[in-house]
Amino acid sequence: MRVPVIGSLLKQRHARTLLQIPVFIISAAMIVHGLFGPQLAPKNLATTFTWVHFRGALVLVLLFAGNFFCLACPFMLVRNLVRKFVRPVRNWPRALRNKWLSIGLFVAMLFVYEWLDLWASPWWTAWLIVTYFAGALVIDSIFKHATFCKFVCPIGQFNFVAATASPLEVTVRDQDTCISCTTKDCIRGVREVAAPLVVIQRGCELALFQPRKTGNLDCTFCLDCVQACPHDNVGILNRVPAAELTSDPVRSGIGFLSKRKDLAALTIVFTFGALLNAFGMVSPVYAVEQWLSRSLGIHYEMPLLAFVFALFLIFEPVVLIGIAAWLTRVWGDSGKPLLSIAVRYTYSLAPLGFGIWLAHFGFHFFTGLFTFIPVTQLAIGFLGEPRWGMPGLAPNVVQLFEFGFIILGLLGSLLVSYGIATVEEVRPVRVFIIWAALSLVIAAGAFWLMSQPMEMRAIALGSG
Amino acid sequence: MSHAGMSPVFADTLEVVPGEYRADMELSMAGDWTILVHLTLPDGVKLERQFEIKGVAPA
Repeated sequence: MRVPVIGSLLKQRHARTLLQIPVFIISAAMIVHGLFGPQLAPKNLATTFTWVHFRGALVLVLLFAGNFFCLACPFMLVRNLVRKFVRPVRNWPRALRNKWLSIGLFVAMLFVYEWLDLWASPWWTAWLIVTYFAGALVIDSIFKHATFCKFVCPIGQFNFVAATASPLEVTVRDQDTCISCTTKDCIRGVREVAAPLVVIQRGCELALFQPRKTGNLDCTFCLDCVQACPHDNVGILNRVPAAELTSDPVRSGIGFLSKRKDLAALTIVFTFGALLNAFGMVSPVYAVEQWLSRSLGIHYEMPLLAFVFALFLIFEPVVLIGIAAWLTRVWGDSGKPLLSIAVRYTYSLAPLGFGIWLAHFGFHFFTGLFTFIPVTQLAIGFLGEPRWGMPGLAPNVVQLFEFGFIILGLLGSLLVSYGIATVEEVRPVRVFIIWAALSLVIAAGAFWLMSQPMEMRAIALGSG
Repeated sequence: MSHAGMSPVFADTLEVVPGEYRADMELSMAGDWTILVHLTLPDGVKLERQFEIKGVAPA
């Protein structure tokens, strides 16, 4: 926040709105082009921007900075506008105040992506964006606070887990200032002096009380707390990436990580979903589907896909994490229950999962980096003949980036598992070896996937 | 079926017999390809035609 220009921009009360407006305009253009433009994915703004540029830029910004895409979220722009006229009165049901619903939606999104071949469908991609806008609008028009962000949005949950490995965090500068603070505006909001029920600056809508907030989980970088703090004591500060996963203090709005089975399950879907999503783009997936089709006598894609999803998101993690947790008890002499061990150490997989997402999305981003130019030329119509000849960086160069991202993620996971083991175990080295082995197995799988030839994702252009 | 952002492959056509054109191209990956043909007619009118080649096998 003290960086020249950027810092002063972010401190402005309407900084978020200023960032949201251009993203909203681009989103609107993507919807219009997706619904009414050419239905060939590489020529359409909806598919090109969503599946090449947005995803890649999202993970790169998370890697090098933090959750700035939630900050610039266009869905919240529309929601904030509507909330000027519609004031929600209900609280989100207590039974749903966890991540289970959003995990289901995250899995559903991954499933629909494969089932409907979203990467190849401008029309479906446009409807996906419309659904997001509608979902945010409906949920947050009925329920108070940032219900959609905290309990529903699958992209948000993805960002929360990935941001645990980010180098920036919204946090307090000086704890002593918070101790002496009497107003707690960062959570309550700034109130009108004459009318205390009137909020003139929101506090945190995600129930993160700054003095007790630890890490990036559930933080949308909305900066409400920054603008509400009367002491200018909240900012975007740098920190050691992923270190938040090694400790387990009680976190405001979250509680203890070790007691949050839903957050551990989200980390599992995040990590193994990264493998699954990458698996969907390489040649062996078709051999597996054909083998399954023959073996099970099923000739419809949906049940076969469901089987592959169950394999990757249920069977594989249960077996691998189950074995690691059991070994932690037996060989690592941990006295904790099996499930507690599994939950606590599952968080160590988040950096590796992030590395795999980076490798996958980074591949599309860098190999298709310049494709926004001809697609924009085509969509706008008066910027000259579309220049299709320079899609991006060469795939063999980008493959080096992919391997680098996986190695980076692996290193992060090794450090986190070592950090947890040294704090929690009587035999930390043994326990570290167990969970390091698990990370190595997953990383080996990712390396294999990224080395496979891609299939079903290309276009040829000819002239005559 | 195609993924946005993937490298396109370009090829020019040759007229092998009057009215019949041929192009050789090396498809860089397996899967379903969409072929876009850009045509310029003798009177200068430009056309675009599209067809698909499904199930290109891995090399």
